[in-house]
Amino acid sequence: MLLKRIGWLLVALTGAVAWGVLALNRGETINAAWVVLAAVGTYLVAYRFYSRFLADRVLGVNDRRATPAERLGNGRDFVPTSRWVLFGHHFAAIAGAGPLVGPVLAAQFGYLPGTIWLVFGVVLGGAVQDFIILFGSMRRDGKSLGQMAKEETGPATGLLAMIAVLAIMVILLAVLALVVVNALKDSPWGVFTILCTVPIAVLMGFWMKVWRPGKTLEASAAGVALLLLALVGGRHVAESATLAPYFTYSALTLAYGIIGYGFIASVLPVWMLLCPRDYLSTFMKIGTILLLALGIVLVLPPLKLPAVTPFIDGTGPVFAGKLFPFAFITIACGAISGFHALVASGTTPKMLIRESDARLIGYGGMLMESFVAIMALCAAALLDPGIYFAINAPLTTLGGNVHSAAEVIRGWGFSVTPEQIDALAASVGEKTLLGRTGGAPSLAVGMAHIFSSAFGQGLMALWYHFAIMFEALFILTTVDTGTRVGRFMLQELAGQIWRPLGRTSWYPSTVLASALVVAGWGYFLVQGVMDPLGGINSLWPLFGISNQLLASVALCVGTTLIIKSGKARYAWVTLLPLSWLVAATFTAGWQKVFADDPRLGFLAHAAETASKVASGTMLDSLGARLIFNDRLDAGVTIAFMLITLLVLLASAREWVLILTRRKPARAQESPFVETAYAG
Amino acid sequence: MRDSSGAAGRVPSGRMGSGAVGGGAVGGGAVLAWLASVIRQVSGMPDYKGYAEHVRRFHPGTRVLTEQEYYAEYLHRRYGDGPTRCC
Repeated sequence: MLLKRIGWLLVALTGAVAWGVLALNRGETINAAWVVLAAVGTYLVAYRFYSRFLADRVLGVNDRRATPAERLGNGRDFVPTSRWVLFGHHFAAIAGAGPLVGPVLAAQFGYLPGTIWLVFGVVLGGAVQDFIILFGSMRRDGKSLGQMAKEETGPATGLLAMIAVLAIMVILLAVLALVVVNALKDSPWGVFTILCTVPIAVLMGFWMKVWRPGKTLEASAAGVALLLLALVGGRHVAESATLAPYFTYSALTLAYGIIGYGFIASVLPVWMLLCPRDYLSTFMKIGTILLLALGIVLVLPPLKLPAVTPFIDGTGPVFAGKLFPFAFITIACGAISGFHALVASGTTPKMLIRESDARLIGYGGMLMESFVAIMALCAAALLDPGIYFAINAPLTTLGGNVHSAAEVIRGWGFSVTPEQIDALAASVGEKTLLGRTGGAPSLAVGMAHIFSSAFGQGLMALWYHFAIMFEALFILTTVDTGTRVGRFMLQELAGQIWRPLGRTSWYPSTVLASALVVAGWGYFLVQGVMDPLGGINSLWPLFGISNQLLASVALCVGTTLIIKSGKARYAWVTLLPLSWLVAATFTAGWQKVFADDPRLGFLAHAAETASKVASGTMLDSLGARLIFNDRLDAGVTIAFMLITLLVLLASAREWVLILTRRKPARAQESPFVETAYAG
Repeated sequence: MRDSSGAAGRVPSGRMGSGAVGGGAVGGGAVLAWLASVIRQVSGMPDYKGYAEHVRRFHPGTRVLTEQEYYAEYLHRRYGDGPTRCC
């Protein structure tokens, strides 16, 4: 007992010392070890003490109560699963491109703001949300977030939540597709490897369905092997003067290619393309994340990015806006992600063996996600700041060639030479890395640094393209699955207007709904590619805002669940992160729409474009399109804020009714059944 | 320590599908089989054997789906039912 206490004291002290080093360091560089120690120390203490408080006091976790997996076990979706396996399963479902890309973009503020928000945001916000929603869904036989919102707060809230999810999906798919486009434009190596994943997936699909049914592992192993072969083959394609042109595409061509691909993937039977790619991407994801963790621990790279850059004043080239609120919008998924509420109320609650496992899987799984984001942040922060900005600033700002770029970047106070930029591009097997916005390429450079120092010097180019392939593969898998999910949601909504449209097996309805969803994100994708400010500048904040607003909706539902279970005195556990999110997100939304700076505010940018057209410095047709896009983005932002506001008001009304005893505090939980498992 | 009791001890054998490999078996083959079952479960692959065993054991009298039917139903569950993965 005493030993245990001393152990926890040591963990807490290590974390505190690491935070002290981070806070006091004013030197040139700092070792990534301090960031990792501060994060892990905080996670451990929070998991041991805060998540236990949540489990015992706030939620009332009860291991005598049978879980849905036990009561409703059917060997299909309700399957009792041992907790570490389920931890892996849940983590694989929540980990995506968001926690990798967001922190890399937010690194324009320096490494410290990102580290602080990732660690404290997850401990007090993101992990709390995931845990409570997972627990609530488990107590309700695995109901979805939308169903819980509907039952606990009213049908209007449920419908609003559903529309919000569909809209967020469209923005999410567009911005992720844009990240891939920016990573693959004019990169024959990357394009070749990613194109190969399509025939590889189809081969796996036939293997699993037709030739050797049920042999999913065998097919996946073959798929991974072929994928690695394609990666190596990509180098020869890129170096061949005859082959390279066939795989070299402009951003716009790639965008239309991905749009077409998304449509085909959505209407093809899932076994043929979507499911095998999903497996491939899951393996690559878990494998690469483990490899990255191992690499960072082995290499312990020094971080060359300053703790805080001058760009906290809002003048940064990667995206516009000040530290508050934009650090909290940009980082998104690694600290708190509304999307997780959808996953936590999907398959995972149906697989828990006992209630207390929800703590490890909900709270612990999200801590793990935050750690992935911390690693991504380290990978970006180990780059020379000059290199980081050369890759992440838009081409229009950098002036189009390495000489102008080096000059612009020196003007910001970071030293870099044109030769350095060229040498880096050559070392990773690319013609240029300049202006590859979106975060993925700079992350890949950082990962290639770590991997080549840890596992093999001189393989920099191979590791870079491995990282690009890994990011592009699972982003495109999100595009596939997201389009399909969006299509089902649209069909469900449309079915409420005209019954036949809701039949997911009716082919015309399927094709129509798929086309609409693809057209939706495709429009924003093309808008992003053509955006003179680089696209990421407008679309990533839009995604961040929508994702954080969905988190606000989830925290509203969580608060309602807590109050209805008669624990109103503990409602601060969700109200605290909720107030912070609402403050940051509504400020960001307001600034994105109404700020006077044309780089920041959509409407100010529209006005600036209009004056350019009037003075004849911009073509009428281009100007009209840009103005329309700005107004559309402003409208979407306002719509997100309105939906959230309505959910917030409806929830608050419910809370007041219960607290003033005008409505009984009764949660709609499934009745208690004693577990049959041996204690 | 309640936490250290381990999940496996609480679950009647057979409830976890083929994921639970008998504790008696030792050797490389058993380890490989265990690893394969963990990978399958983590990546959410279908487990027809586990399903069929479950139905026979706990729902006798219910028709067991064929492997083809089970696979079709699995795909629908995984991709037709709201988001299963994140951004």
